[in-house]
Amino acid sequence: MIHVEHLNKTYPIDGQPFKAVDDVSLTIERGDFLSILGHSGSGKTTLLNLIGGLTKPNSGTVKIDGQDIWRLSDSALSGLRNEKMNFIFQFSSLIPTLNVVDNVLLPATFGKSKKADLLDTAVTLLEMMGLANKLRAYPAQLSGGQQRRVAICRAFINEPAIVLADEPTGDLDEETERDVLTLFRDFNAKKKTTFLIVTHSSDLAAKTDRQYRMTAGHLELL
Amino acid sequence: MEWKIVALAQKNLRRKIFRSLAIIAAVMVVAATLFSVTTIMESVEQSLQRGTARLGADIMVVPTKAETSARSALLSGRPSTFYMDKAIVEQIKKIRGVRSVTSQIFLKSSPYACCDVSDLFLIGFDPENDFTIKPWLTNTLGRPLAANEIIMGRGITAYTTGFTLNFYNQPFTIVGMLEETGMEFIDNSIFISYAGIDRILANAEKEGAQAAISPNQVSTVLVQVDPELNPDRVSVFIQAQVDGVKAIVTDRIIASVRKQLFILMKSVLSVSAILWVMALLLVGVVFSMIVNERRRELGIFRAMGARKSHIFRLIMLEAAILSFLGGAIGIAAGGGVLFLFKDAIYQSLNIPHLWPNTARFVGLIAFCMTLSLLTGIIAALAPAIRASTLEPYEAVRGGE
Repeated sequence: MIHVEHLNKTYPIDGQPFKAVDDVSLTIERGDFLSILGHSGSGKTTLLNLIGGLTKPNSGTVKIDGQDIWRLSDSALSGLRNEKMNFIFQFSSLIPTLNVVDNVLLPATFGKSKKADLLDTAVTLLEMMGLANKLRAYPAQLSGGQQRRVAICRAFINEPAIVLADEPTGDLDEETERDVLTLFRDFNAKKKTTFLIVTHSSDLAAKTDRQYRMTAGHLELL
Repeated sequence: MEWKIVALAQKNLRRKIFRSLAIIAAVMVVAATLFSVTTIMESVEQSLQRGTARLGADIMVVPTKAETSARSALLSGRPSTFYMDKAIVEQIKKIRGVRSVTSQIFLKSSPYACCDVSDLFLIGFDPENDFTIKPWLTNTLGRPLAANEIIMGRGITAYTTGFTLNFYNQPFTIVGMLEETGMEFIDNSIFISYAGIDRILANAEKEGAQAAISPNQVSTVLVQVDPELNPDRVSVFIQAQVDGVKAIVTDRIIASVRKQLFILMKSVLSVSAILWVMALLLVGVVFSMIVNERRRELGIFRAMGARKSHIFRLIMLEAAILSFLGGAIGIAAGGGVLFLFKDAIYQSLNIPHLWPNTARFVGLIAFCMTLSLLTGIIAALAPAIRASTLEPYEAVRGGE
């Protein structure tokens, strides 16, 4: 489903080129539940964003369902992200001017789906994450963990084929982490959702079906 | 999808209320100033045009010595009396380019007991060939003016139709009021037929009238020029062929008034232009700050499937909403200020009506609203383009 071939990405840091991703190739099939383990600065987040089409590689290709995403128009690539993918970012990624429900429904703002049609789904997801009483709250009124849970709900609102998650349980307690992983497995089992989880936690990585390690831009299968 | 973007824009604006109000205020000031100034300019222009049309004459012929008094009387409406031989009327009729001619005679009402009202222009006109008062008489009175009847200019507000006034102990009934023209010469005058003047003259000597005039005198000859000819040229012909007169082209007087008023208005418009540039800069800087501040948010929107065009439209919509509100409030505020100070404006600019006709008024509102909208759109254009072309991952990282 996802074919990454000879991907390279270089950033300038203090005027010097820094190779964040170095000749990475990877194949991910539909329904895979895998993780990429690595320290900070290893390039794992950059790889995740390259696969998600949020940044353009210097060379190499990313193909999703046989389509090179960098040959698509902005409109088509945006549509692909809206309909087939979703992201869970490492940092707080809620929009401060929208309440919890509107944040979860954000993908519907830019897609063909109607918000009204997805409202029930949004409320159900938020209830699963223990946020039923926070529907109209704004991000500033939530704790870091609560914000993370809202972002996770948003990741599933459009029933994506692919979820790209960067440290999805980073600031969650054990119990909530278990709930989140249960949700991930649920979607993986029922909807064949593909998960690519980037983490520095070997415990979390161990809970996935296949693990890779990223070191200084190079990827190896564990 | 457009309505979802509008809803998103509105939510963004509501959450940053003070910043939104600052932008609205900047646009409001521009719109209020511009609307006020353009409304006044339009009103002045309409008043001058109406006044010139009411006067009806292309040229006003007066005695050479009375030129200054005549110009002053025309503009200020302060009574002034000067006379010349009535034979001049026939001489002027024969001059090339003269289409029609009528005469008027000026009297000043006396401060003595013989007159109920003093220091007013009494203008005697010839009902047979007049083209200033007659059209009004035909449309409104429907009959010729009798010898004991007078018509008041709209500026004389102490008396109304039906009232009787004495001039040189002769009673005259007010049978109508002329429409306001903005020209003091007409608005603050009383119009009497020559027959009425004859009644006054018959008793003037007995009652101590200030100007003892003979029936063979006129104060001014009003001339309408053939449409094919330039009034300036015909005025030259008149002055060349008739001794002792000055032929004043009425448009020239109006033009000089218009020029002075417009110089004043242009200064105010220049201030408006400066305010507009400042508003543009302010809104541009604020939206640049907004885009910088919201880099991560914009990156997240792109990750969620927003296209570049969505981001562009979002920023432009926010600017357009704020500008629209600023423009609407500014126009209402400008109109409110004009309404509150209308009496002072009437007096200082000597205009009878403050509000232009409906079509022009709507046009002015549309113009000011368009400029207000353009303020936001132009100012936000560069930040919107920058926002839409941010690489999503760079935008997301840029917020860290």
